[in-house]
Amino acid sequence: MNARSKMGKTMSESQRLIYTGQSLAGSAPLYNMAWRFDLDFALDPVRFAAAFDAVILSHDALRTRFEMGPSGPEQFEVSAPPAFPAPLDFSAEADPQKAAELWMEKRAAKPFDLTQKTYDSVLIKCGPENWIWYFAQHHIATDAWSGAIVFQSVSQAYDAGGTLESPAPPQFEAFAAQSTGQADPQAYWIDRAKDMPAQSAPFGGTRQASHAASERVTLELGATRTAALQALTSDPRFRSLSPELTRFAILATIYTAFLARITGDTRISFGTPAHNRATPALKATAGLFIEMFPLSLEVEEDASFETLYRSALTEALQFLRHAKPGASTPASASAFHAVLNVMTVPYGDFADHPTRITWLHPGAHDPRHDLRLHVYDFEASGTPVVAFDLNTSVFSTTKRALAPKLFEALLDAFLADPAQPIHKVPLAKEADTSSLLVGPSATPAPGLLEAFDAQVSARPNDPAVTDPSQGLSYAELDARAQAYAAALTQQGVKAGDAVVVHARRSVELIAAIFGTLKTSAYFVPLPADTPKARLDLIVERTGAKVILGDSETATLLFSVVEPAAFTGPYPQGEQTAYVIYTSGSTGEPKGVEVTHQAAADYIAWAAATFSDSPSASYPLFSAIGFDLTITSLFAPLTAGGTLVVYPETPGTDLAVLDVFEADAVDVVKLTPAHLALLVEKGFAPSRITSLVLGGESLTTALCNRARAVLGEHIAIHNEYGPTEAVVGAMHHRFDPASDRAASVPIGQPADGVRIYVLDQGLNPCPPGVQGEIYIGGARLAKGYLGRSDLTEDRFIPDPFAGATQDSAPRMYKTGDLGRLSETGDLIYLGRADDQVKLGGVRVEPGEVAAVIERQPGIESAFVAPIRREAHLATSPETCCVRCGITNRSPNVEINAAGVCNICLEFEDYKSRAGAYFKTPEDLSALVADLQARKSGTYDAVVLLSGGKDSTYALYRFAELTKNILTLTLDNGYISPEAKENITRVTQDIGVDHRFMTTPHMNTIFKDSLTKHSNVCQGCFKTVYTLAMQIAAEEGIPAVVTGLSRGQFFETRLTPELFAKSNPSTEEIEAFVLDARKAYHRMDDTIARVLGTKGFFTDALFDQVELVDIYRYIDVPVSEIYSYLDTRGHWERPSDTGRSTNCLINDAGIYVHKTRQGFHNYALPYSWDVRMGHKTQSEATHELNDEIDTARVTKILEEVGFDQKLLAPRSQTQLVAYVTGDAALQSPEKIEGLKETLKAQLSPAMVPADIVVLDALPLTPNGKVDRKALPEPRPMAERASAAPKVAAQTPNEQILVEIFESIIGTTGLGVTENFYDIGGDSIAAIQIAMRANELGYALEPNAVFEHQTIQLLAKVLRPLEAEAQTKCPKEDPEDLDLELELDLDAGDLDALASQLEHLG
Amino acid sequence: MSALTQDALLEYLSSELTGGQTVAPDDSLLLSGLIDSLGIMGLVSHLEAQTSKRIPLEDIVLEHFDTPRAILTYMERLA
Repeated sequence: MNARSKMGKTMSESQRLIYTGQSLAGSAPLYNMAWRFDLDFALDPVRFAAAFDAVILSHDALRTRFEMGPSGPEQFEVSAPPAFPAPLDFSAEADPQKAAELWMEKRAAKPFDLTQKTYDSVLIKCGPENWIWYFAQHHIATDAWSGAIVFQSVSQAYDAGGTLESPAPPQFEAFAAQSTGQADPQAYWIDRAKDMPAQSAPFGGTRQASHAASERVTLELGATRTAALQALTSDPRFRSLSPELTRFAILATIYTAFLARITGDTRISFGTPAHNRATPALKATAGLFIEMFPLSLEVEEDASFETLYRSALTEALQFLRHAKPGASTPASASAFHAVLNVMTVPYGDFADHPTRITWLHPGAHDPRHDLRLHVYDFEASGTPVVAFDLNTSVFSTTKRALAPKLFEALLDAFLADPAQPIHKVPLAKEADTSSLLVGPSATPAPGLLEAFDAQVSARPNDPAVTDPSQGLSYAELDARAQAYAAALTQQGVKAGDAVVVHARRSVELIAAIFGTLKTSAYFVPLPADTPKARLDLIVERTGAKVILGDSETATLLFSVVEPAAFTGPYPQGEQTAYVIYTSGSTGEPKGVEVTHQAAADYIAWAAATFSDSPSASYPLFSAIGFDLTITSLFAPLTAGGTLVVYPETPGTDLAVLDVFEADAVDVVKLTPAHLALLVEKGFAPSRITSLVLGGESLTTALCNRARAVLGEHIAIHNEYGPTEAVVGAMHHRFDPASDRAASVPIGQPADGVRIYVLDQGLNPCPPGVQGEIYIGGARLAKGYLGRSDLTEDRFIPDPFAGATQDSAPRMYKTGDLGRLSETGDLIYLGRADDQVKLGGVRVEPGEVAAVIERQPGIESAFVAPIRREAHLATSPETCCVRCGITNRSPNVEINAAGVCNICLEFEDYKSRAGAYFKTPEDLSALVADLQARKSGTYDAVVLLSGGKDSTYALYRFAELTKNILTLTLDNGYISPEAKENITRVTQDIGVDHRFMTTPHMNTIFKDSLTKHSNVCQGCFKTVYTLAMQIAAEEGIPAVVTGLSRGQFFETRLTPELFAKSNPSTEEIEAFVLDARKAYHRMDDTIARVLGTKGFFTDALFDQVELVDIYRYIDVPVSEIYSYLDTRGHWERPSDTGRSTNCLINDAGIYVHKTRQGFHNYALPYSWDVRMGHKTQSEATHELNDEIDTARVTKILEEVGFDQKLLAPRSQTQLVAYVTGDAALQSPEKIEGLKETLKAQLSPAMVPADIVVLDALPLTPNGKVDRKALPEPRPMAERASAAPKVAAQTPNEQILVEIFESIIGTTGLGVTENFYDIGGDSIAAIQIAMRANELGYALEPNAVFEHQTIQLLAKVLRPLEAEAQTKCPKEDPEDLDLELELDLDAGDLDALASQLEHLG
Repeated sequence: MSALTQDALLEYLSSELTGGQTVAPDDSLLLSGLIDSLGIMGLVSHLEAQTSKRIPLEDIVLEHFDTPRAILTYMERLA
């Protein structure tokens, strides 16, 4: 691991990470740590300079410089640092303090040239007794503690007259040497980082890979809060190892709660530094000690601060336990987007003079971090500073002001009542009503029938409604409606009754609906294709006496209604106008009951909003049972327009196409899926001028395409509202100039409507914070017909209504999620029930679809979360023609030639792996060596399970020495027949034998089954652990195992080991030994129950060698059987199933097959075949076990395995369905699309599959029909469908060469992802440097932004072309003193332009 | 592999964690701020290596680690 710095001084892991981060960010001052020390006394500048120079010479960390070497960054020591500069004198300025402040603000943002030095120290005179010492360091050479050491050292030296009296302090080099690449603790963190999904950006903000600019905002904690916080550290509920740990865990709890609330995620991860100064010597050493490690917490829906604190404390202890120097890795250091930095270091006085200490913000921080929270008290004032550094791309100006307030609200809530649920803590102050949107007030509109009658009087002869067979004027329609009313009355229909209208779309249908309303009954619209069962159910629920319609289900046929007059009284506003049945999430239909007044108010608003024309015409082309249709049904007929009826089309109802073909109306109400279809068909209507979109989430990309294709004169309204709030509760008119986000907002409330975004405690959410959408105002549905329970559940008292005429104002709980945008518009975030959480991170499929739709060549996209059971995901099953493994095993892909990826890889490294294997002669030599080394009785321990492999191994080993101890773990399930075998064999050979036991076997089995779905993993580790302990105690120098060659390859000699190199035998051995150490040191159940005696020191592994006998002998399985037959003392037990010794093994196989969907022996057996030890048919045959489930179930009960866990493991994946141009048919295009998405979306949001369709299937209501979406193709098919793409252009060719030389591989395709081929940050820097050497301009960040060669080639430019736009290289001299204020203005301008460029 | 003696523990504390300051069996290590949590975790690793016992996370509490005597009592009890 030290290879990268062998030319200079050792670099610690943290230094390497910071170097990388800085290189990626160019000259942005991410890692500038600047302090301002106010020294208010008559300071002697000469003495100060001498003191500072003495300190620089005493700490090696202060004299370092850095360069990129051929194989990575290198650290050097500067032998003669420049002398301390003369002071700046601002005392003559009008306001010396202000002048100094401005100077420091600029100076703190000045980049360091790391090839020269890493600090910047300047003394500023503001007055004879007012001095400021400005001291800045690059983080690569310092941390907050180190800053205190320098401060205190300079203070002491100053006090002593300018020299250091104390003995030379300890040097950084010693620490760095022991803190590079510590394999064991690193393994823990790498593993932890794997379960940390990328966090959503706070407030729905946007992350930009290279935006480093940030602003520091501080929060005044105040004395009361500080005291309350202090008091909690001695509260028994929060007691921990130490008050300081309690304080940290409390802050971590609040920070986690804060992040959960502002991101909407439930799994929260953040980084925190370990100070790494455990001993007093280290506490006196200057330099960069801290390392960042990730903490990750789950915030349960009903979590309280107290419950979250328990998890935070456990996580903090785990962190402390594993935060060893050198344990950080690039993976663990980049697993988070937020940082919590609680610092405990006090700085003290300067030479006995009280000193004000200010930590200056350089205006930038690591662009990977959305925010960093620092808590510190450098002056030991007792009141800590709470400072947020907020990335200015993720946090807008208003969000930067808001964030600390929200943190404060949560902090106060914790202090006030730790038992309260986190998601109910009000975040907005009482006065802040910005998330309560109130629509314009509205006077009640005239009733639907009154408005219609007014039109009948005003324009009796104007066309009211037409269909292809007839047209009626207003007067005619009124007459026909009266005929229906009379007929219904005759059938006994009275006011308040239900009339089911079940018919195709026609003029008669419209007349029937108006006729029903005239009787004061209400209509229940059901489209013609409603299934009989649903129709019957609804008739029963509503108690409808009449089914009015045009088919055999009707009790009153349209065709029998004779002309007649009707003069009954009209219904009152509060009477029900219609009931629309929605399917409901449970599939149980719910009838939403809407009053005349509510419907009339909606229609009046819609007619006035969606068209400038007072009497616009609408088409009726959508299903009548769908509330979207209500708009078209009433808006034209109450306003004097014409309703044009388009009948159902055969098959899927696509009457929408007829509407655009005819182009005979003004306003069309439709779904986004409809619109996508119209765009695809290329309609360019002239009369249609207004589109009202509803029913689904609307994307900006679709709107822009619609304008381009259909015409720019078309107004697009995005309307939002559930049936329960009467069709539309709010709307937004699309504006291509200002609507830039992926989804179109749903805007502002309609007249008389109130919209709230509330948290679980029904408190308003501040702008940007996700919450549930509630709709208030008088214009709500009555409720659910006949379901008062459900109505009470969803229509709840509205506490925000204020003074209203309504005595009991209600609000409707929509179940939709939303958040307020910067401009105060509501953003729809999908259904709460539908919200997909992948690994705790909120993923909005609509958002993913919106990004896909932006890509060239895509017409429309629909993204669906699909829950796939692990083993059902990859049907049909195919087997490798060479080894027989099936594609149901994870990560196995079988190519077109029928060969699996493992066989293919193996072919490549087989010969290199051969270096590990030895000969029987080597084994003889080893035994002689063991005999010389032993300190006890035996030459070796031989593990004997009683199975065939270990029995054969024992026979072979015993040929060399019989002075051995054979050990068998009696796990409680060794078959009696196997035990007989063991007795016979050990007697036959004449060797000692013992059974090992542990009372914890069932715990171990249960754990192994739960975690690994097998029993062997737990059993093996138990065997090794106990045998190693016995060998160590009895002075036996080796433990001999019967691990097969296949198992070597499966577990140790992995392709990664051979991927980039040709390791020597010694290197492989060292690797295997390291893996064994890590295996035994792992903190797991076995380690806990058995006690991992001595495994934490290397001494045990030096003392007891592990000898795998099959490393020395190579033998096929058939030969093992025939050898054992010949000896005649081993017989295959009849009661052990697949195993040859153990009764519990079948239980493991059963659990594994059930949960994982494949045999746990599939992989090891495939290795036996690859080794030539078994034939493919033997292996396949052996995997077809008959398992006695009754026996297995009994065993699982015995060991206490929770059989509920037997359900197959399943996972949710996103699948994208896309339509678009013909190019999408090519696999390369799809791969390219995937790569593009990887670069634009967080990993959890990248669809696992992209399925290309000719058209998206639609439901009769015009929404995407999820049930009709095809199953995605299996994994294997996709793998073989994506061949490598060779370089096509000169740029691609150059990049292929550069990539191959840096990454050390050949045959790269241009569509392969940088990370997938083994790229990392160092590689990115090296690629950029190599490109520069070859005469091309390339920023390291570009490699991350364009993650394939194909994409990167497009931004590769010759160096000259780039020269003007690049920043001038920092002149190292500039870091020295300037005597005037504006001397470095040029540098700052350059920096500012660079920052702008980065942003 | 040795048993943990009071002398060995006090010696370790003073040489590795307190910078030479001698520690008495009943001195408070944590509440006094003499050693911080990270220091205690270093001690935990040391004790594990010395005694070949595994100290579970849930046992790392003030009651077991605040004084050298408490540590000795706890380590004796630990299986």
